[in-house]
Amino acid sequence: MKKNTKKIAVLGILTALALIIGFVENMLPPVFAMVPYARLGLSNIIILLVLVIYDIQEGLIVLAIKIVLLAVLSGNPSMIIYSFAGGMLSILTMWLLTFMHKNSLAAISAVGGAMHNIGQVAVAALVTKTAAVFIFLPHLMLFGSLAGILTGVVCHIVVKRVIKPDFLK
Amino acid sequence: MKRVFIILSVIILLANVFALTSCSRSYTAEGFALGTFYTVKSSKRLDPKAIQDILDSVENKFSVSVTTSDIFRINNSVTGEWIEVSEDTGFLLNAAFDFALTDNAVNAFNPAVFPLVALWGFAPPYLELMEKTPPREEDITAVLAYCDISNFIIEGNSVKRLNENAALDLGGIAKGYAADKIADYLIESGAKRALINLGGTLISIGKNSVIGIAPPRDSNYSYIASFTLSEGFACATSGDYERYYINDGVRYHHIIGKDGYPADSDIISATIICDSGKNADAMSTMVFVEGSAKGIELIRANAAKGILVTRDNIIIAVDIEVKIKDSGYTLTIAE
Amino acid sequence: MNTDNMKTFDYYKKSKLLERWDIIVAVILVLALAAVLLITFLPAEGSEVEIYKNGQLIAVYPLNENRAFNVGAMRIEIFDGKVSVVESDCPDQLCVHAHSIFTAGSVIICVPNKVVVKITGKTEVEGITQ
Repeated sequence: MKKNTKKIAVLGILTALALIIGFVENMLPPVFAMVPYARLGLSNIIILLVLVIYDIQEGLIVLAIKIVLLAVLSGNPSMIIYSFAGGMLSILTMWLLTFMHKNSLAAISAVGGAMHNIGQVAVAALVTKTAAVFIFLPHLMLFGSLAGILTGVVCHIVVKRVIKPDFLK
Repeated sequence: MKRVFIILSVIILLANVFALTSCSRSYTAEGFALGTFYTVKSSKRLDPKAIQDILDSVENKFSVSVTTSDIFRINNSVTGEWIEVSEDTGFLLNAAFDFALTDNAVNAFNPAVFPLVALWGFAPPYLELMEKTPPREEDITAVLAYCDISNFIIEGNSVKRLNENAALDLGGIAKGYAADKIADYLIESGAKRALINLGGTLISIGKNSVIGIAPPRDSNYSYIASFTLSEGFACATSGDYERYYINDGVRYHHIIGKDGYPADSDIISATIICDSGKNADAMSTMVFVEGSAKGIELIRANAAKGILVTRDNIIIAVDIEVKIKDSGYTLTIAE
Repeated sequence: MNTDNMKTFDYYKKSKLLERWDIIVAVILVLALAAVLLITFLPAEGSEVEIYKNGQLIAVYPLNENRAFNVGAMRIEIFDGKVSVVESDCPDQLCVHAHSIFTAGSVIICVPNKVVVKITGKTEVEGITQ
């Protein structure tokens, strides 16, 4: 019982954190006008953290809530499809990598960042009904991976230093 | 449970990769027809022969030089003799005549202007086009007299010529019409996305396409500006830079205006975007002849969009978003 | 479920900032990036000219080497990075009077000879209206 309450509380805080990070990120101007909502992906720190501490179910819940709330509260409901496509690709690949126990968090997050951008560009191509947007993919993927490494490192520090080893007990 | 989830995720990811790659696969058919070069790109495999056949069939109906074509037979018929033509020809002639009678812009598009076109040297086979000299004023006045559609009567699929000097030419609308036919064929054969480019007349099917505007004069780029051709729309351009000759420093081009001389308005290139290739083709000629002021009115009256390039290197965007590529041009939005 | 979680959690608690398998991930990412780059930008902007006769590709030449060659009764010249048709037996001579081309996607066409001279490279536009 106590564990469940703790889990709900922790997930709640993490979701709120992801939302705040997302809000701040959105204040930055978009990189490419034709692929709106392509940002640094810093909220990946939280998603990856949830995947490490808990599991895919919890990750999906946090991701879903963050996507919907961020889009609605910032007044951009159309953002949902972009975030959803990018987020799903990202979280699924990251999850598959996390339980393989072979890579560092920095690498996993880099992959997650790249996948997120691929998803966003794919949706942009469907929305504008033209393949012209793919010209932005190399640039976005590069910076997405680099940002991913950064978020991975932050996540690593949080896991190693901030959270006590007996957190789940 | 976890295993199911894993397998599901892998399947979702692989499905995405597959979808992405199949989105970009495209098939191409290219060739020569109607005096120009065409490229058809489609998401579904094409039958190049079928496409070439459609275009050849259009050429064989409307060509002014193929001796068995409907137009040639009309232009060489005995005055007063009824000539039987195909349904396509009847249809396109009626459409062309309607354009010629446009309110406020009569004869801006003139399917009967061929005698003048020939007088100025722009009739096939265009022998040594660049060395030509302009005709004399008295010849222009004489020929202008019988360049009117009133010299022809259309009844169903029969056409009669009333003056032995009058001649028809559907060159200003045939390419658009041919493109429409290719579009119909592609849609019928199940192509979801395609882009047809028939000598600079384009139709976008099932997707939006980014299209560039050809430079009317020297440029460091292969296009001076770009716009998005929405799905289901066609675009055509009329300009003074493809068939012309320069004599004594003056440019004479092939789009003859209402006064018998090459149209001399403020625009040197007119691009029209609307939902039919033949309409875009005819309207681009009309707007080019009439100039920007009247041209903008005509475009709006027909619920179309346009991009006009003036002699002063100004690009006028009529109800469509345009992105400039060559900074030698400035963009204005039509009010 | 909890034990699985603890295994994952403990693993990452103990993991280093960079692991050995990261190299494989890095390689895959770089390859993916290279593939995307190649697909979107191949070949390099306006670096070669392709000659088609009757729909068949018959020659490809780099733009940075001056040369002159014949294609049937047409004479084509590459000079100073630009391609032009200097001679042709076609009646209208439109190909000869066309401006020399040098930007990706530009073409010179001779309809009577069924020849297409095209500069390679991708343009941001899918077609040009003229």
